Formats: sequence, structure tokens, C-alpha cells
Amino acid sequence: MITEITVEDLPALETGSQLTCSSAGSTHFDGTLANIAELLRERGPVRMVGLDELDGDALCVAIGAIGGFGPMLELPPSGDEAVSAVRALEARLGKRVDAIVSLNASGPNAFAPVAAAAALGLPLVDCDGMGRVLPLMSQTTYALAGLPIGPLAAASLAGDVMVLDTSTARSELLLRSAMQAAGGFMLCASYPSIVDQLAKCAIRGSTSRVVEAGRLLRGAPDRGTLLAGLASIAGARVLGGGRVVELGHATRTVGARQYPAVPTSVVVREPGPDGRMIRLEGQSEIFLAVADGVVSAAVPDVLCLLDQREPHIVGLERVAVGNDVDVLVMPADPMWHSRAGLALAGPRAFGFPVEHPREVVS
Amino acid sequence: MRIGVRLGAHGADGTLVHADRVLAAARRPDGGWRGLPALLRELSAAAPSTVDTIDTVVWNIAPLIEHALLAAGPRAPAPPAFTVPPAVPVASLLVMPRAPRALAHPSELVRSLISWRGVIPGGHDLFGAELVPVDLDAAVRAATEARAAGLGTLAITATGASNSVAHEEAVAARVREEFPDLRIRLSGDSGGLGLLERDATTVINAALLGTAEELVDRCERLTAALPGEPGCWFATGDGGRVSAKRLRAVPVRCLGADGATALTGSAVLTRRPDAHVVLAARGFIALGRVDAGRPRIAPDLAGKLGVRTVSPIPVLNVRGTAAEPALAAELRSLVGPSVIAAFDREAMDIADRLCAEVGPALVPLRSEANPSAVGAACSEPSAWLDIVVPADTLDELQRQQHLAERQAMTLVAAAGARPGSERVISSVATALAFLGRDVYRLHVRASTDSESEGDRA
Repeated sequence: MITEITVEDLPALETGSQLTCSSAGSTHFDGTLANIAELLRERGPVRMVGLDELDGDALCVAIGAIGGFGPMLELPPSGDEAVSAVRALEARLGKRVDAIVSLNASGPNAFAPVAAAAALGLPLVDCDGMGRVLPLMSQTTYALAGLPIGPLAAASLAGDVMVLDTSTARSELLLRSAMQAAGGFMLCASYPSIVDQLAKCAIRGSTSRVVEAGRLLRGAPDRGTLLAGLASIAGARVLGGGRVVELGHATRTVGARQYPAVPTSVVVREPGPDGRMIRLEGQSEIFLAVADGVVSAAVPDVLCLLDQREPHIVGLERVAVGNDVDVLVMPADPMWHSRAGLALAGPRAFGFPVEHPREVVS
Repeated sequence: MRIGVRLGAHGADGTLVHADRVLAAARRPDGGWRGLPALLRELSAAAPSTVDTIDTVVWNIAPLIEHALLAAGPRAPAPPAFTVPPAVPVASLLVMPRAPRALAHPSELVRSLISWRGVIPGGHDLFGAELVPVDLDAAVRAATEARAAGLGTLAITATGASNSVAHEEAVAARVREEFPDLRIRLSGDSGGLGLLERDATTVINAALLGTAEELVDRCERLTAALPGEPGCWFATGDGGRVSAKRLRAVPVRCLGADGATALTGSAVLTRRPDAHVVLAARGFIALGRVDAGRPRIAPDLAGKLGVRTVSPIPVLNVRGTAAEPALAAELRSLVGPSVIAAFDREAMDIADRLCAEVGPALVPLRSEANPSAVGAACSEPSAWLDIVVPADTLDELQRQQHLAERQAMTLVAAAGARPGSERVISSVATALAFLGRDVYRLHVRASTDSESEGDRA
């Protein structure tokens, strides 16, 4: 396990975070990382601890952003947003926070908790509540274990701060409206919980895994080493590979919008006469892989596209017809494969009328 | 008939092309600018009398532009064969709701081109809503500081200018009232998503204005000396070309043109318009791709200068020569033909080994003509649009996409393309994730039908 995050770790953290974020892929957040690097130079490395190293009653909050990646490119977070949010939450709770946990150590949400821990001078716990990117803040293993999402606090990139104290379902609804009004991005401090509660439901070692995957993606000498390494770190396997031959971007249907994401389809054709057509369906993230009509992998397992030429993840915001990609699948944490886990974040939760491959087997 | 000329660190390479066939090639390793009239005369004299006169000269000046940029930094390269005025550092003004923790641009190159940098309040979100009111008094104070520092050009980049240029334009108008002679460049003019990417594009462009003016003047004079009043064009990073007038305004579009023309030229010379292309030279191997004779391109790539701009450049997977065995395995696995172009003795050895290992699927390029000069000659007028649009319905998305396509084709036509020859090469709408509203990034690439001989700049 990695025990501290330094400025030198940031490139690996960024690259590794792309593996479980098929929406952003290898979008570069240079401005955000420059701000976090400056923060780490000012405050020193972030100490990273395991849950077992903290007192059972130590208070933790989950740091993670909701919203899009575009706003972060136009107005890179400075790293201070978490200070506003956590201070507002502490005022509401009447307690000081002892440590930071990750909402989901994937995509830019892998480095937001690092910035928060640095800015607040707190340790970062090496765990998260998704192990991937899911559209809703309530789709976490924290929620699966019954932890309430609130009270929560959120800060916008323009400096607005709000505190929400309501049910998990209504928090999601209200927060999303606020996020849109704030320009499409808010940094949240949520799931205030003690270590004993988190010990039962946190996905451990998440940030360490991200850094390890990032080092591998940046340094693997060849494709074989890369794939073997990803198999070892994240259980990754290649579902298939070929050329992207079709992309579909549907706008959402009229009416209530269940998810803050956009339906997206990608079709990959494998080479050769026996090559399969692999259809990938998702909502900003890839959620389903159907090879020649058979469901081969599904959310909450992680699906992403790995460029066949260069060792980087091809995000759905970047993928183009003609790209040559491998489709990678990585198993979700076992908590997600429970009946309740699949109900919260399995394919049917996103409107796909299919069973998860594990349900079919069982 | 067209002439393509590449001006590089080690001299000039020229080629005479007609209907995608090379008629003559010439090289001037020394002599600098003084050697170019003779090079053009030599190529011109090689034109067969059965074919019309030379109507177009396309210059690839990307190596000189890149030299001018690096000359402004701490690690200035050796002087090229041509005298090139260096880029001139500029003032950069960011318009954002608050100052960033790291004010300096992450790119060393961009930092070397900025002599003064400031931040004033302002900016919009991606939906076009104002985040904070723009502070025009602060803008005037900032411009006064920049002016006092002796700077004559101001690059303005506002948060959200990807789809709302109101604050950039307001700042520019107010600053012009105070300093009418200050040259001002706005990031919104280049389009694209990302404050730093637009900032880099605007700063690089502003810093190159003087360099471009001089280089374009020289190339125009050389072109005008040829009989038949040929048009004077410049190769761009998207694999196309722009007029002299356009290049004076957006010299940043030259970045990446060397790779783009080398890919195009390799495809032309090997008669493989759809192929993977390996470019090999001392110390590196790069793998790119051409589709229908045009290089595959993308915006926001770091490229050889290591700076991400919103201007598209070729997608090149660059690696050291130590990666030769892995590349051989990769080339064997690729579907379709591959081409390898070697640019020096060491690279020719690599090409020979790879061809022996890969077999007939890898075609070596063997030609006296420089691929980049050929690629320049074969390039067509082009346009690239990168815009962010909200679209709540599929019909609205299609309407916006159609508008963008029309706009791109209009740009190609305005660039001097033969009427009716302009067409959309690619038009992609990508949903921006998790915004909670349907917002799309549109990329439209337009050019002309090939063989549009007779274009005039």
C-alpha cells in the first residue's frame, strides 16, 4: 500500500484514474493538476492511511465532485473548494472531520480527495465507495450498507457553498439542480461516517490501485506487460478488440431525467471473417457489452476502451469512428455483485432489460 | 500543376506535382532564402509543356515556425538554414471568477512566450450563464501594467469563451479605447474546449504574428516571381492549407504541418491513400494513419512541442528506435497496408529490417522527392471547427451540426477553394458527460474534393 501522495505521484494518479472512467478516458486535466501540484508543494505530501490505522470513531467525509468534465477544463478547480465544503459540513455537524475518504477514486474524482486532504491537512484514507464512475452519488457501497449521504455540503467553482440535510433520494435531486445552476460542477463533502461504519462497506486500497495502474500505463515497455499488469492490479481482461465502426449519441427522452448522463453507443468490429461485432451501450460511461447479441459484460463491472496503438484509455468524449481499440473488462468489488448491489447499479438499474452475466450463471 | 516546398533546419526541399504525380524534385541544403529562387526556377523548368502553368505553390514553414517559438525560450535550438525572426513574448490576460492557485501555464513553451500575466474577474459557464460580472476597470488596469512592461500584444482568454465570447469582447473593446495601438487576440476566435488549451493557442498565435508576417512576405515574393501568378498557400496541421492572408492571422495553424504533410506525401508517393504510415528518423519512429489520403488528426494533442492547443495536429504515436521489435509485431497485426518512410541513413536501416520482418504488408517509400514537400503540394484548402453547443432534442442537435457543417464549408470557400468543390470530411458530435443537460462538442473538418487544380489564394 502506498503511504503518501507526492507531487511526483500526480501524473501516475491521473493516468491510473482513467482506467475506471470510460467517459473521460485520457482527457487531460492539466489545469487542475497544476493547481494540486502547487498545493502539495505548499503543504507537503498527503499522508495516506488504511481504515484500520484510524480510531473506530474517527469522523470521515467522502470527497468527490458531481457534474461534467468540461467545466473543469474551462475553470480548473483550485483545490480550495473542499475546504469550503468541509468547513460548512463541520459547522452543520458540530464536529471536526478527522480524515478524508474518496467518493470514487476514478477519473478526476481520484485526485479531488488528494487536494482536499492537502488543503485541510488531513490524512486520506485509501478507500472509495464505487471502484468506478457511476452517474449517481447514491450509487455507492456506502449507500448499499445503509449509510446516509447527508448532511452534505457542496461548493461550486465560482465559490458558492450550500448545505443539504434531507434524505438520500432528495439530496441527489436537489444537488443535481444546484449543480446545473452552478455551471455543471460541484465539489461535495458527503457520507459523514465514522471509521467503524466505513469498515463494513468501503472498497479498500482504491487510491493505491489507481497509482499502481497509472505507473504501469505510463511505464509498461510493451503491450503484453501492460495487459498482464492490469490483470494483476485490477483483474482486467480483454473482452475483444477491433475498429470502432459506429457511434451513436442520442439525446435523452423527454420527461423525467433519471440520470445526469447521455445515452451513448459504440460498435467495435473485430478483424477477420470470424470477427464479432461488440456493441457497447452506456450513459456517459460504458455499462454493457454485447458481442454478437450475447451480453458479455455489464455494469457494475468496469468496461473501458484501451487504445491498441498507445497505452491510454479512449474516453467516450474522445472516441471516433476508425479508432482501433481493445475492450477491457474489470470485475467490480464483490459487494456490487450481491442482489442488492446489482439492484442499485446493475444493468437493469440503467434501463437495460438484461441480466448481469453473473446472474445468468447463478 | 503545383509546387510544394518544405523549409527546414537543413535546407529546402521542393517538388513539382501534377494530378498527384511527382514530376520533379529539387533540394537546396544551403543558401538559405537566397537559394530559393533557383529551386523554384528549377522545378518550374521541369514542367512539361503539355500541361498548364504552375497555379499553386504550397509552403510548409512549420519547421521554421517551431524554431521561432523555441528561440524565445531558454533552450533555443541551433539556427536553421533560413533566418527566422523569433516569436515575441506577449501579455496574457485570463478572465475567470477567481485567480487560479497556479497562475503560470503548465507548458514551459507557453510560459516562455508570456512576459506579463494577469487575472481579472469574469467568465461564463458551459451553458452560457455569467459566473461573475466582468470587471472592465480591472481590465484597463491590467492592460496598463502590460503596456508599462513594454508589451504590444495582449492575448485574452476567458472561462466559458468556448460558447460565450461576450466577456472577451467586452474586455477587448474597453482596452482598445485606452490603447488603440495594442494588438489584441481573443481565445474565442480559435474555438475549442479548455481554458489552458485556448490560452496556449492564443498566446502562441499572438507571439508568432511578427514571425508569420515576415515569413509569409518572403514566401509571397518568391511565389510572385514565378510565371502565371500562382497562388501562395501554406500547409497546416490538419493536413490542409490556408491562404497567405489567413496564415498571417493564425500562424498557430502551422503547428503539426510537418507531420501532416509527411503522412500525406507518403500516402501519395506509395499510392496508398488508406494506410498506416511509419515515419522514421534518427532516434525516433512515429506511427500515424491516412484515410482517403488525409492524415488522421485530433485537437488537444501535445505534439512535438509538448503543448496542448485547440488546433488539430496529426495523431502520431511517437516512440524511440528501441521499440522497433514491438513495432514489427504491431505492424504485422494491423489490418490493411502499411507504409514506411525513412528520413536518414539510420532510419533506412530500420526500414529495411522492418520490411524484412513484416513482409509485403509493409511498403517502403523509395523516392527522390521529399514526402513533406509532396504532401504540401497535394494539400487542399481546409477548415476545422470545434464548438460547444447545447441541444435538448435530437432535431436540435442535427440542426446545430448542420449549421456547423455549413460554416466550415463556407470557411473553405472563403479560403479560395474552387466554387462547389468544398465538402465535409468529418462531422462528429460528442456528448459531454454528466452535465445534467444535453451539451455536445462538435468537431467539423472540411476541405475540397481533391484535384481542385486552379484554386487561387
